[in-house]
Amino acid sequence: MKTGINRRLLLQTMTIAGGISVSRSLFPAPALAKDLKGTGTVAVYDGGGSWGEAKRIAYFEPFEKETGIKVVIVPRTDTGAVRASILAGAPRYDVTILSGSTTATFAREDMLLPIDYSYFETADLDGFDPVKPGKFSVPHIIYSLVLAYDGAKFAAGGPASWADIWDVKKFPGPRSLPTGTWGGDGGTFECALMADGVEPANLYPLDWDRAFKSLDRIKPNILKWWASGAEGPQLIVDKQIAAGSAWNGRVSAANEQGAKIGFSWNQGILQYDNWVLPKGAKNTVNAQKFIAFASRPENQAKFAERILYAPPNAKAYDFLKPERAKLLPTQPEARKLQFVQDYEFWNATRPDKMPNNKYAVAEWEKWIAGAR
Amino acid sequence: MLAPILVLFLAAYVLPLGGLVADSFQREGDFTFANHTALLESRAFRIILWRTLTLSFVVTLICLLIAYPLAYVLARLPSRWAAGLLLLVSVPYVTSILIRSYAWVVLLANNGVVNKLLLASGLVDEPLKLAFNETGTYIGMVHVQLPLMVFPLYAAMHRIDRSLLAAARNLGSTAASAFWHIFLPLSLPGVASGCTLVFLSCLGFYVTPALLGGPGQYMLAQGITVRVLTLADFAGAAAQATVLLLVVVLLFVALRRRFAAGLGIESTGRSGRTTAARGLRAWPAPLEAAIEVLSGPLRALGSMLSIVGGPVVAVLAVLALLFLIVPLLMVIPLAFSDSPYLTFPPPGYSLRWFKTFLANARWLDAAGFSLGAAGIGAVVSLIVGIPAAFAVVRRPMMGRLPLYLLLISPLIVPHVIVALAMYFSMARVQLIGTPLAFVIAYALIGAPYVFVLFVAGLLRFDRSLEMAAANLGATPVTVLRTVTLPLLLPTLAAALLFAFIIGFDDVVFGLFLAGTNATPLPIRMWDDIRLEISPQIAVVAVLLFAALALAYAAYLALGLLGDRRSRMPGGGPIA
Repeated sequence: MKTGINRRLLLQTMTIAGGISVSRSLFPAPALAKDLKGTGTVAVYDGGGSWGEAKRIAYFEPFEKETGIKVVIVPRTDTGAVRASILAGAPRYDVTILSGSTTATFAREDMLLPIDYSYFETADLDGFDPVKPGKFSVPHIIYSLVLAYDGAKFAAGGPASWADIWDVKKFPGPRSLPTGTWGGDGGTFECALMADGVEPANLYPLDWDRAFKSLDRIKPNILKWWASGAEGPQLIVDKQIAAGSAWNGRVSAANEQGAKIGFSWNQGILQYDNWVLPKGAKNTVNAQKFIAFASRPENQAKFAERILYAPPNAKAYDFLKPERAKLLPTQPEARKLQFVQDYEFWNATRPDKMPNNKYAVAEWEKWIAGAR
Repeated sequence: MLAPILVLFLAAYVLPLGGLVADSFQREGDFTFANHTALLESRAFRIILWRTLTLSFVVTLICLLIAYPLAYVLARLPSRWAAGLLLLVSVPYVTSILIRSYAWVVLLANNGVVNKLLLASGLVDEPLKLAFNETGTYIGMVHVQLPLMVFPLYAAMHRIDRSLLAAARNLGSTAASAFWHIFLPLSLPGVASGCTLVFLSCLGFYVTPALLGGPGQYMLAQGITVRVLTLADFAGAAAQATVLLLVVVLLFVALRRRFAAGLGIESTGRSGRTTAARGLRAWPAPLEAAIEVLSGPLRALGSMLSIVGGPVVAVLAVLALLFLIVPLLMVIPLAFSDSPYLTFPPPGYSLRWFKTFLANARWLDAAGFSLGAAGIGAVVSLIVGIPAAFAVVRRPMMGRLPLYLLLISPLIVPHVIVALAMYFSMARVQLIGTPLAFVIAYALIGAPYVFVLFVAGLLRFDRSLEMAAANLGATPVTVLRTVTLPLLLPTLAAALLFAFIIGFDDVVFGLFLAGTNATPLPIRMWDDIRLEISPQIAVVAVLLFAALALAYAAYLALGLLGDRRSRMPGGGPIA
């Protein structure tokens, strides 16, 4: 930690010496040596499980210690309930997390407060890569939806592309993919198109008909459409499925505990979640301070030590051991095999005013009922 | 006496549901049928609605087939035994739906216990597909709904005058024929109310199909939940909920007589014999004709069955009981697993998951919150439910049946609809995320149990005891204190238990109402089960079982106490 602080000071000095930073024009010029001290509380989304535990150790406890602001941990609520609580004028959180595929929709509907970048250090802002902070959101984690398989069953070499996942002759056994009711978050539509031969660069705008045709082919082999992050790895550990998709953090966590799940970064979908400030929240100043605190590279490194989600502030890699860093989805070797999901597409509205993230669910319901 | 319950129902149920229905007629501020016509024009919605109806129907049928022999055997047992076994039957009903579904995954999965046994015994060469398909949904849902079928069946069969059967036998009828012509028709009111209860509550099912169902299975409640929680399409959700509500209300109204009869209200003041007479006419004419034609072969079959019948029925009943209980017992060893996964049997045993539970302040906070909110909610439902039951049973008044149906309807209307409705109305008054919101919700879903149990208790109650006390000079308060309340003590205990557990186990209201200062235990469990599947939840299950066992023990002790005082047979509150 000591080296961390030194490195941090060094970075600050360099930024000051360098004068103009790249993002200066984008964000208001910050004052130096941010003092985030305050009083009262801030209600933050927790997420439960080891994700919540990593937040507690990397963010909540150090934040309380440094600022004197008490973090109140609030469990998960689905986006619909978050939206309803903002509409009702009583948001459940001061700071919450939205997936990239819905953040812009919330912002467009005037449900979020702008981020106050005056609480940030310029150096912290410059480090964000490959996703930059936006007017209403700051990335919280970057993770990858990867193809995963039973490592013991396919010891000689497992599936290496989504086409392989679709190929039950070459790699026999049941499959599991995320349910399409997740819209963009499950990545199922992108996977289906890649399995059908679409290059990642040509995915967007998604060709829905082609995606569903591709899903028609895999459907007989689907054991279950998974609906929670833990389910994919659990189904492989239980030998219920031979292959499917899973989030890289879940796969690595299972393997750390002795599971033998194979996975590949190839054609992995890089996704991210954002910190946001719901409009109408009570402790907005504390909330702004919290987000600034959670954007510091050394805190994000501490987070990535606990759970294998990539720090959106790439400077966090400076604080991570190489053997840990190489497991993260944004490390250079992995990065070049994957692509960032196009959230602009997912939040964009169709001619009938329906955003793609809703359209996907409506079409999925039709398809799953056999009416598409 | 009705004022408290009416206030609660109006504020937390009738008005919110009304608001929800009104919302479904809104689109961008205008009154419109667009949401409904869009639904009815959607082929996907029609398919999903149809699937929901057929699935509910099949589950109801299977429940009837399994529950009938069980209730038959229970009704022939001495009351005390029957009461004990009925409590056992109620265990799955009051066990968290998350734990139940989780237990079934452990049992039915490809490498689950059932398949391991089948493979080891050489009966099958490949694991059977029991989970994540229609089979899984049916097994899981039948398990959940079976108690709802057993209780009304038992109640109806328990009332059947056995001397009628003996008389038939004396007049030369075979056992099978006596059963066919007397017992079965007399048990029909129970069949009808059991089927109605099961069918209606199947319609709103969400968790079981979601966890155990196959890749193509999609039910109406899932559609509503996705609309609310993922899409935030509240008008669309309201429209779907309105359609479901309409189906429920129509069925409810169509079957209201059967309903009320099965739950005891219409038998007030009628002797068993009149009920029997009604029962004897219960076969419709075409069916009677069919029976006549078939009577020869049936009689032959009947005499054969009457030789093996007794043991077969007993075996079926025992199997049904095992089906209810064994899956839940599977969870217990998992709690003591030392593995990070749910592998059964566990590779080794330890207390690590108990330690992590006790070391985690969030689990303990949530448990504390749930205990408190469900406890207060249960007390409130007693306070509003008991006077209402007294009023309905003892005061002749207009509109007694509609009132009765209204007060028991929260047992039937899918919770996701009520929760959604409550969510919108509570948001308006800034109650979301407060403990008060939970107390109100738990009181609302607990009150019908209190009400139903007390109506049943009061109908069994011998009023001459109260009159005797009054004649001997006791004031009304003294009568209440020394006669009425002690006699109703077992009912009170059962009502408190049910009302408490219904709140304590709730997931659906929690999903909507939770907030900073109010996070119930099932929501923590739900959170964990979605993110990590570890033996942690089994620990919670074991602790809940232990609490339940304690509560039952206390209840039985109270029941015995009440028995001794009142010299009334049995303590069965549910009967």
